[in-house]
Formats: sequence, C-alpha cells, structure tokens
Amino acid sequence: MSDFLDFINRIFTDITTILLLPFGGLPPLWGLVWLSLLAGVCMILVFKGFSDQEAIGSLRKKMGAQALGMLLFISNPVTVLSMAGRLILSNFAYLWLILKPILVIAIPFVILMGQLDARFGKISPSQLERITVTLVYSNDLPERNSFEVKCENANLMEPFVFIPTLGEVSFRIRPGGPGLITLDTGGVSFTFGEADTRAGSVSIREFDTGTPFSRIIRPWNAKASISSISSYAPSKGRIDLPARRYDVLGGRWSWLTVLLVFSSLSALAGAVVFRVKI
Amino acid sequence: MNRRDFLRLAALSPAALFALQTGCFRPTGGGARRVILLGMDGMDPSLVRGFMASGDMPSMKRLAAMGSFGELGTSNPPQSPVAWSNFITGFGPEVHGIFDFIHRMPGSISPVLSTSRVVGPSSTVRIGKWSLPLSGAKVELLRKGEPFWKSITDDRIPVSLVKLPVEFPPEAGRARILSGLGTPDMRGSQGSFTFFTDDASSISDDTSGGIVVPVRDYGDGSYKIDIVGPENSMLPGAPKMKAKATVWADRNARSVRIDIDGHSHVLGQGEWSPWIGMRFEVIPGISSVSAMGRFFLKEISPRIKLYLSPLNIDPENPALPVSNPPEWSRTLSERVGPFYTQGFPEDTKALSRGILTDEEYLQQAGIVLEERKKLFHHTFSEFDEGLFFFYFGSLDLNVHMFYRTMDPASPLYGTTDVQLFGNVIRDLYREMDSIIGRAMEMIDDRTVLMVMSDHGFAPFRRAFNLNSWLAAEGYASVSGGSFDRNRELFVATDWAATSAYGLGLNCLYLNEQGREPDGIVPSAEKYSLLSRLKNDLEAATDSSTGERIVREAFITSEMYQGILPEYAPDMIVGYNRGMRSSWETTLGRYPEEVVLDNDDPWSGTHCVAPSIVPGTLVSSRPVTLSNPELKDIGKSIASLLETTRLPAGGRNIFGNDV
Repeated sequence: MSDFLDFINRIFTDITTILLLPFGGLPPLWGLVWLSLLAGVCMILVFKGFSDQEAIGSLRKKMGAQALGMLLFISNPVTVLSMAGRLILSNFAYLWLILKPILVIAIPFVILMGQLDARFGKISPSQLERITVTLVYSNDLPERNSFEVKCENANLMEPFVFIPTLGEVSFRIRPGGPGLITLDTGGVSFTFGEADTRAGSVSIREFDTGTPFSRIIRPWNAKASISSISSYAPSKGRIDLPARRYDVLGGRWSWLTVLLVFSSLSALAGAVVFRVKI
Repeated sequence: MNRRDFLRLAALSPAALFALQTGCFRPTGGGARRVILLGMDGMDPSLVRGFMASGDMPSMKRLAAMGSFGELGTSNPPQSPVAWSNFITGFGPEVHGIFDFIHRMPGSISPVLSTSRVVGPSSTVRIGKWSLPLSGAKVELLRKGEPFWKSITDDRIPVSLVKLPVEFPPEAGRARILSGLGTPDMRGSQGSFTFFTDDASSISDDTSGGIVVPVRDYGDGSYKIDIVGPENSMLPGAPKMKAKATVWADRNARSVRIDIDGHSHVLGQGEWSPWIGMRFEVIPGISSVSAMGRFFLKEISPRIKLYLSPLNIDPENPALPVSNPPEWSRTLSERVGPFYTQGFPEDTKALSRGILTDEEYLQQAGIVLEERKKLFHHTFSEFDEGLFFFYFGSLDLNVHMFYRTMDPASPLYGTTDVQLFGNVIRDLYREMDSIIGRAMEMIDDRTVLMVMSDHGFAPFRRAFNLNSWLAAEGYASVSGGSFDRNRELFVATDWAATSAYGLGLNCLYLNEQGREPDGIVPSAEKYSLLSRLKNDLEAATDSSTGERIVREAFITSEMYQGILPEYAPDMIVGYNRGMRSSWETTLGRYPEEVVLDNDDPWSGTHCVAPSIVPGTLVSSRPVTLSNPELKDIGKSIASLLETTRLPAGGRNIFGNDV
C-alpha cells in the first residue's frame, strides 16, 4: 500500500513536472502563472462536463426573473417577500446543481495546491545562509552526549536545542550549495531541498517514517529511509524555509494568491470561450 | 562648450531638444559628469588630521592632496537634523524650519518630533468596534524648502541619495532616495528596543529607549512573549498591537528556539539572530502590517535575558514609505539582504541603560556597519553618471558612545576598558577610509569626489541642567518636591512665575504672553529679557571646574534672517567645550544639581557652540571659498554638473574654476 501511494504521488509529481518543462529556465512566476491559467481552464471544462448545463441555464433565468419580479412589484410587500423566498430556494437549488462538479474539481485542485506549494511556496534552501532543522521524536529524546547528526551538502551549526516538552530537537545547518541536503541521525536518513535546479522543482522540506498517504497532497514531505533500528530515531522532521513572494502588479503575492487570481481569470475566460453556464 | 552655449546655438533644433530631454547631453567644459558625495556624519577634522598623519587614513590623505582638505561650517545648533537640513536646502532653520530634534508647538508644551509627523485619515466609518479609514493616513515631512537636487533632476541628470538624512518620508520626484536619519521604527519612535527577562533587578519604569518586559517560565521551559508593535488606530484608544512568540529555553545547551509566525529560529547565548519577520494583525485575518527585528540572547542562565532590536520597517514590504520610487527599497533588499531602516540604527540607548555591554553594543554596531557597506558597494556599483550621495552614520553614534576612550578627563575614562576599546574610534575612521578608497577608483577628469561631515565632536564631561539653572537664577519657579522636579514635561513648573524654559538639546523659550498656554512675558519685554538671559548664561560657570558653561547664547531673532515660524525657539544655547545640556533637562525636568558629571556612556557631543565642532570637507577638486559651509554644498554640486538653474541658497565653493 505504501509503495502504491508513493507511486501515485510520483505520477502527480511527474505530470506537473512535465507541464512545467517549458518554463524551467524562466523565473518561477512564469511557471506558476502558467499552471494557474491551465488549472482555471481545466476547472471550467470539468465543470461543463459534470454539471447539468441546461438545468443551470434555466435556473439562472428563473433566478433573474425572480430578482426582477422583486423590483417590479416593489410596492407590494407580500409579492416581494414571496419572490424573495423563491429566490432563496432557487439559490439552494443552484448550490445543489454545482455541488457535483465542485466535488469533482476539489480533489485534483487540492492535489494541485499541494504541488504548487511544494514548488513555489518556499524559498529554496540553497539561497539561504542558514536553515533551522527540527526533529520530532515519538519516544524519548536522545541522550545529549550521544546525539549526532551527519550532513551532506551542508555544515552543521551548534547549538542543539533539546525541547523535551515537545519531543523536539532543533538546530541549524548552513547549506553547501544547490542540490539536495542529506541528514543522518539515529539510524534515519532523510533528504531535503531541490533535486533539480530548474524553476518549479519540488522542494522537500519535511520528512516522516510513517504513512505516505498525506504525501499525495503534501508532496514536500518525503519518506525517510531507515538504516538501523534505534529507539532514538526521529519519527518526523521539518526544515524552516521562508515563504516566497511574487511581484505582481506592484504587490507581493503568495503562490496561493497567484493561483486563485489567475485560475479565476482563466476560468471566467474559459466560460465565455467554451460557452459554459455557471 | 557648456550647456548654456549649446542652448544658445542649437535653439529649437529637435535633435538638441531630444538630447536635453534624454539627459544624454553632458557638460563638455570644465564641469563634471559625475559627482560622488560621501556624507560621513560626525567626521571630525582634527581627528582626520591626526589619522592622516599617523597613516591610518591613506586614502583620505591622497584625496586631500589631489584637491583640498579643510573645515566645513556647521549649522546652529550643530545637531544632525538641523545640519543636514542646511545641506539639503542651502538655507538655515529660518527657511527649512528645523531648529532641534524636537520642537514644541505654540499653545502646548508637549514636545513633537521636528522632522516628520503622522496625519490620520480625514474621515472614518465605524463598524462595531472598528473605525475604518475612508482616506489614507499619511506621514508628512516637516522640513521646508526646495532640496538642492531639484535643479539637477530638472535637467534630467540622474540623482541617487542613499540613506539621506531628514528625508522621511522621501519626496516624490526624479531623484532616487532611500530615507535615512529620521526614519522611525514601527512603534513610531527613533528606536525602541524590547528586553525580555525574568531578572527582577532589570525591571524598572524607565522606558527611555526601550521597554523591559518581565517573563516567566511556567515549568515546561517555555516563555510566552508578546512583542509590542505599532498602535492600532482602528480600535478605540489605539491599543498597541502585539505579535506572539514562544521562546523555548535549553539551559544545558545555553540556547533557545524562538517560534514566531510559524517559523523557528535557534539562537545560542551571545549570538545575534538574522532579521526575523513578524506580522501584527490590524484586523485579524484581513489586514496586517509586517516588521522585522533582530534578537540577541544575552544570557540564558541563571536568568533569561533576551534583547529584541527596535522593530524596523521591512524594506522588502514597507509598512511606511522609505524610498522613492517606492519599490526601490524592495529591490535593494533583494540584492543586498534586509537592512536597518530606522534612522538611528546603533542602539545607543541599550548601552546607556546597561542592557547591552560595550562589547555587545559594538557587535550590534558592527552589524549596522556591515549592512551599510554592502548597501554602499551595491548602489555605488550601479552609479554611472549624475550625483551619487551616500550617508554613513557609524562615526557619529559610535564616537558619541566611545569618546570616553580617548578623553582622560571623562568621568568614565577610569571605568572604561581602554585597552580593549581604545581603538574603536580609530578603527571606524579606517573603515571610512576604505570606503573613500573605493570611491576614489572612479575619479577621473570628469568625476569629482567630495567627503563631508555635518559637524565635528567635543567631549561631554559635564551635564548642565538648564531648567534647574533657570529656576536657581529666578527665571523659572518650581513647585513640588523632588519627585515632581524629576518628572518630565514641566510637571513641577509654576508657570505663573516662570519666564523661560529649556526644551530640547539647545533650545530656550520664553513663556510669552499670547503664545505659551500660561505665558507671562509681555512681547514688549522679550528682547530685554533675552539680553539679560544671554549675559547671565555666558557668565555662568561650573563651580567644580571654574569653566564657563556657555560659550555663546544666540538670540534667534538676531541670528536668523526673516520671519521665524511661531514654534521657533527664542534662544539657542551654544555650550562650551566639555559641557552639554543634561538628558533630564531636555524634556523639562528640574534635577537638584545644576551641573554634574556626565556618567552616561554617551560621552561625546556636538550640541555645543558651532565654532567648536566644525565639520570636514575634502574634495578631489580644490575648494576656493575660504569658509565653506554646509549650506554651500548643494549649489556647488549643481555648479559642477552645470545645471540650467542653480539652487537659491548657498555659494559655490569652487568659485569660477568649474
């Protein structure tokens, strides 16, 4: 099951990577906008395919008539209230009609959000002077005297902060350069960072030794490899990366804002082009 | 051929017009294509002479030999906001309106910052407890007068002014400006630190320069801290916004982890953190402002002592404008990393209050200098033509704090580790020399390099309580006991029997009828009273040393030409060498002693008579004017660049040799 879920995750990741191939050499915003626009178009097409367009069309006309009726009979409160009530019911009917396509869209949208967060959400570790790493232990913390971490492509910085209350140990590393960073401690080895230097590459910033299900929607979370069994092995871990912001129209936007704005714009444009009733 | 000849001959030629518009026409006579001006606040000409002679400033020596080296007349009073305003406008306080760091408005005794003010929105709408603005609040620059560079940018000549003093907020226009001195922190002050500690002996009511916040460990090794931010004007009473953080202490490792805004930062004892961003919620979930600060873990055991720098405006996402064009600060931050935006970045108050030791303060000052150097090297590497101005404040603030290391007569000389800190000032001058050396690489026939300072330095050994002296001499009357006398803002003053008071570092005001809230001095008697005050002040001596306290007292109506603004002081007190007004008297306290030793590490000053603390002027082109002043620099630069119009104020220090 674990392997299957990892396989699914790899598929989603690879599809997204292929879509971003033309933009690998450009600033990350290009790839993010491209995917957002594509998402909007896909959403509107899915909406068209999974919704009862006729029912939506006639319901919208009905709602329009009810709203107009309220204006025309404004002097007759009883009629207005009656129209208002029907309009409210029509709204519920509308929500019911769009529920199915929205549910269908929701799943790939959530997966897409995970992919975008992993690729565009944080600043790359190689661009930072120092990074805080936090290891989480399900059991007791390791003994301070025997605690050891080995690094590849990074330099370890003391001190190590032991927080028994949280079951965490935090420390800093100094990245050595582009590419992946590997840490080895307590028989657990985990790799984070970006394997690929092209814009829009997945940046791993968390690891765990447990179930991979969450990795489908959190592709920044990688599976750690266990080289030996130790009661002082961390069960989870994370690296702290600052959020990346994008200069758009004079503002500093997060990846989520870029996604929402550009996917909405392309969805609206797609609705016009493909004659989708929403 | 110069620009004026070209105009005459080319007349309405389209090509000529095009050339002028694009700025691609450059002077072909003796004028300059580039002017580099390094503003090194507080650079003292006597010290420079000494360091040139000792070989510590070889670049300065070469530059002086190339052109000229001399003194630069400062402002009166010789305070940085006044001096730099003189430089910017070409006129004195009678035009630009800045007389001191703080002013008081007629009708009120409350001090206000002299350089800028916040103007709230003109209209708001109430929704529940929220007062939502319908128009924007704004920050106003209070310095008046046209800046000299307007005549340069009018000719489409590029101008870059980096860390320009007394230019917050930066004025819109063609000049690229990054605001410097006068830029507040996010609390609206000139720099207010926060010190988190569970050490009861550190906790006091003293809020000057920062606040001490008591914290406690609830048994799990964590301290929950509230970081106090700016006021939230959308709520009644404008309460201060707070950002929450958790500090996890590991005493065995002598380190902490600070969790704030979903991020974790590890810090060892004795370490300074990088810039850490934090957000303050104005309307939860809808609107917030960002700030940044640096933590320093002074101690973890037995007591936690965690220092947080003043909350700076984040240059990458500024809550208040710090540059023109507005996006320039973001670009700079992306290129060189985040940097201090507050005007006084060195935390001298933390040193004065004993929050930081000398060594810790120097670490912080070192961070400031390194950031400033990075900013300089980046902006200088982009400079191609026109005017480039860059400001360094490191000399000023650090000489203020470490003058005692070179002044055996300082009350603190015996308690200062001169072995360890004796070279601080020399090392700083050497740093400035290396900057000058870098700038000199660009000097050619058409490039002029100038290094200037706004004032020099003098020792601050004895503190003069001006208000206490006024009371002792019968010019003021004090009621209440010792407690009231030591409260700020003239709480102890009996205004009905007070004819004069001091406010700010050098200013004296008459309690004039019709101007002050409880004025008693008739306008007709002002001048005679001022004359008497002048004589008495200039005759006053320090009973311990026998030295005169005041070198010269200046009646402002005689000193400045034209009609002065209503808030202008009546007298500027020019203290003698070794003296200065006490910190207590500047804000209206009446300590018992009139003159006492200055036991604050702030041991150097320039707020004395201007003749004691001239600035420095070094130029790669010989200066022909015998007594150049700050006011002359702007016109001189415009002359070098052969602008169509020269600024109104000042004189050309290069004479006709352009």
